[in-house]
Amino acid sequence: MSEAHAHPPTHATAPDSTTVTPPSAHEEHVDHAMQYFKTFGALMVLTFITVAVAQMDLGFLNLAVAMIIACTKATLVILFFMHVIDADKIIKVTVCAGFIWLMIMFVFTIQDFATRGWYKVPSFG
Amino acid sequence: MSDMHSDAGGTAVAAPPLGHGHGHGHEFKYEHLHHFETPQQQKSAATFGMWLFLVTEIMFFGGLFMAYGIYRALYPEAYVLAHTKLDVTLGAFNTVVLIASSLTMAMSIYGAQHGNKKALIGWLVLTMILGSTFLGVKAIEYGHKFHEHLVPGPHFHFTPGHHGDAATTSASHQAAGGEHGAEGDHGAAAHGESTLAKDGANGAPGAHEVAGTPSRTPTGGTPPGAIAHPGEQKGVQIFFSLYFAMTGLHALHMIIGLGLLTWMMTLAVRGVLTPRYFTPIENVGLYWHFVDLVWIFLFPLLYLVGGHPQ
Repeated sequence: MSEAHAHPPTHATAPDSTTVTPPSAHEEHVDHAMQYFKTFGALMVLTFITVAVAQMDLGFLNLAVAMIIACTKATLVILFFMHVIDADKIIKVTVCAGFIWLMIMFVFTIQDFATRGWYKVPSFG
Repeated sequence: MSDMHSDAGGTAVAAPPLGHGHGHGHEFKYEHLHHFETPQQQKSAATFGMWLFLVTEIMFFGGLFMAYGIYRALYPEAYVLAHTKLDVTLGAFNTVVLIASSLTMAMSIYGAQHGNKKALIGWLVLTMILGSTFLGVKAIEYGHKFHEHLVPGPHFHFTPGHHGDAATTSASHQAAGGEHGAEGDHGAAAHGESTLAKDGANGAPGAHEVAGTPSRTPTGGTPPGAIAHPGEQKGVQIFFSLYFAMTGLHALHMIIGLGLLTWMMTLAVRGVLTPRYFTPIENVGLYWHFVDLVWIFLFPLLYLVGGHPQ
């Protein structure tokens, strides 16, 4: 095995580079390692914030803030650690579809519980 | 489309490097299997397949999150009471550990992409150490929960109070829990699931149980704002059921992940993972990040419910 040659190949020798863009095609422009560490830093900051906010009693807002921060963290992980930001379109569509179906499950279940009157749900008034 | 020429046998032509570096002919058996037109197509197919699997995983965990949400809406006070038994420090520590392991995982793949075998293996080892640390902390936390009778079942016994308090008074818990708590609590909880519907009919959840369950003063006098009505005791037990189901399922994924990382280690050592072919570790990375993702939601939902028990 050759040692770490971060030597970009000359793309002139790749005649079919137009078909499916390999992720490596972006690497000349984006330093992924740097991006990973920045993502990690942002996730650490957000973790700290979410713990700090939880120490305050904000009532309903506690859950809202916690979930907004968690969703932000999840987005960072998905986009940068999981490379969805520079993935093929089909991957982006698949990821979005996954969360849309999750939301369908959440929304329909919640509206069912909230409106049937089987239970007196304190949080739903 | 015209340039997606399939050249049978001509793999040497059809293989522009997927990453940087210089390929070697003997790796072709991995990076370009015969039923794919190009190595890129093979890689796209593998990534797509992995994501389809992860979408099923999203729905798999999603069901548990849904259950968590519904019961949180039904027993908001019980959730607030119950979550004080969880150690936020350990939870936050594990969050940091797991996010760090995601970073090392990404760096390991980065090493593979750039043909740096030393970095690949080094970061992989670090990832496995961090993953094991997470599971170790989780085991300690589970141990505490067993010790404090917070595992749903016949010996479940809940007394309000913070995590630290419970440790110091665990002796009295055992004395009280053995003779008293086990009977009353369990009786209420065992029928809990089947009587949920009736709760609604009677008004407040758990209202009908007030008559059947003896008032609970295990440690001598109910602290202010303790279990006001037994419905909350049931809610607390539901919280811990969900806690164990969700973190348990998550931990199982971690264990599987560690197994996959071990497999990746053998591939790395054998020199299979190269800049031309690193799909396996990339897909294991996706799985590992997904497990991290689940924890990112579990941590605030279980450890940081917020609010103070009234």
